[in-house]
Amino acid sequence: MIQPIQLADLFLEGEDMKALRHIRFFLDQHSRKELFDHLLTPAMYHIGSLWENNEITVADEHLATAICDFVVSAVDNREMAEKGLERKVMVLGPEGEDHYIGLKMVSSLFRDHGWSVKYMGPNLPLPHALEAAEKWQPDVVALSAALVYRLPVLKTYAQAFLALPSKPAVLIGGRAVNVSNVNSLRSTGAMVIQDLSQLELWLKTGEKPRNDYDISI
Amino acid sequence: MTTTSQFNGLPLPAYTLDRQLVIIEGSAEAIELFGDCRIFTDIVDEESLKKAKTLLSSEVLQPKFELNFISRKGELFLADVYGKRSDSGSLSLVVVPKDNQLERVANQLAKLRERLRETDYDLFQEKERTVELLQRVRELSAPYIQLDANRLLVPLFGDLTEEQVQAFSPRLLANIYETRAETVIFDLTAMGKITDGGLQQLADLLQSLTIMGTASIFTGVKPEHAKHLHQMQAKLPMRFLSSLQQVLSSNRWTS
Ligand code: B12
Repeated sequence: MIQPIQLADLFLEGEDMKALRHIRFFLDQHSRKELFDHLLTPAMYHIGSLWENNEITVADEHLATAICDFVVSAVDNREMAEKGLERKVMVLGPEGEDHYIGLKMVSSLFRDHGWSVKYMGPNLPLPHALEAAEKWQPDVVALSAALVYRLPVLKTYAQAFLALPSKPAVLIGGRAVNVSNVNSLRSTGAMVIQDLSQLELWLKTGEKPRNDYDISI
Repeated sequence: MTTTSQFNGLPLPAYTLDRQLVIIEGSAEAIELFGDCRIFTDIVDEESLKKAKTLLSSEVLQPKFELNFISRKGELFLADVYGKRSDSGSLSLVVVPKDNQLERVANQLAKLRERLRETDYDLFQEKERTVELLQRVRELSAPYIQLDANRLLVPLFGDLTEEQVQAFSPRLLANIYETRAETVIFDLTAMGKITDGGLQQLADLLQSLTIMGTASIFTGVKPEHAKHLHQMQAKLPMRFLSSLQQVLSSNRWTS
């Protein structure tokens, strides 16, 4: 079974087909969520460490992201999308945020649970996003940010969606919420979700994540 | 900190730092971009700090590396850093902000790719829907009409192809099993051509009917169907009547 570091190497070499073959093999025995948690995310984080060690440049990260994106899309379960018509989620990143691999994984997980997903991509201006939400009336809006500096704008987005007449639930996740204090985000009424395991739990049971780990006094 | 000496006229942000990374000197461009700062790490993004400290404190300085910076206006951006250590141990650094052309092109490409994929997916869904509809049409090309407790009338429409027969057979057999019909009347009045595959499938269907103890009668047979069906008749118990009228007005065939 391939390890995250080997997979990161394939991403950096642009070996899309090889990477896909390994991933299909992994998926014979594992779920897509396990693929995201145990292979793809660690591989991308490893790429982040290689950059920190000055072994690669951001140009290499671009290529690696494109390959990672390719495999995430290639193994996505698109057929399920139609069946869950009764529950709808809109997935997007706020303006100024270009990291989108996490968004794609979140979309994929929702689809796996029978939801109908509108993936709107990263860097989506708020007026656009609100207009789409008013038209499509999603039950849930899922937001993601990797850059810590995007937390204030995430809050603005969350408040705007929560104020819509259709009252969608708002979920917020991504690297930015994992490395910062997010109580101010929670105070809006949005649900901050730490990782895909919490998301899966919520999808399966509707159980809200326990927040004890970051309660600040 | 001053803006004199070696950096005069240099059109790039540049610094001289001491071993503790305190800024000894900065170029005019550096001050314009980052403001007046005391220590180099103040202008480095939090999550580039570890990298900056490790690389800048190493004895053998790497000649070039990337760091993320925060500008005076609070903008986060990526830059190449070129560095050299002097004999006295001080550091000379030039910061070259990355032209975000690459970023822009990459993002545009990603968006295009996404759109292609969505279109691809929409087409795929459209195709699935069409296939479903076609299947439905095929199934409906052989509706069943229950004439009485014993007889089922199946008028066939359109060309009789392999797919067609395959599509309506399961439902027909299930229906016969449920209603215990003893006779099935296939009316070919509205039927077009018969293909070889269609004929083969029809033979299989009749075989199944025979096993279930159900008799088959064909009505409305046109000359072009006749020679095909004739071959089959040799092997299978099937009967022909010229018109549906005849079947309906007689009970002779219904046992
Ligand atoms: C690849 C990468 C890029 C690629 C991004 C490609 C893309 N379009 O996605 C490129 C090269 C374009 C890039 C650009 C930049 N990047 Co960058 N990037 C990375 C890197 C190496 C990996 C990111 C990644 O793909 N992770 C994999 C995904 C799957 O992880 P994730 O996003 O955390 O998502 C997981 C969970 O958080 C969760 N999740 C995510 N969203 C959501 C949402 C919900 C609702 C839920 C429930 C869960 C959830 O699900 C995922 C599952 O595991 C990180 C390093 C790192 N350690 O993260 C830096 C990093 C994030 N980038 C960084 C920076 C600074 C930048 C740039 C500003 C400058 C640059 N380096 O070029 C630009 C910013 C562009 C912009 N405006 O957004 C910094 C951020 C620092 C900070 N202070 O916030 C990092 C940390 C690197 C660093 N150490 O400096 N980057």
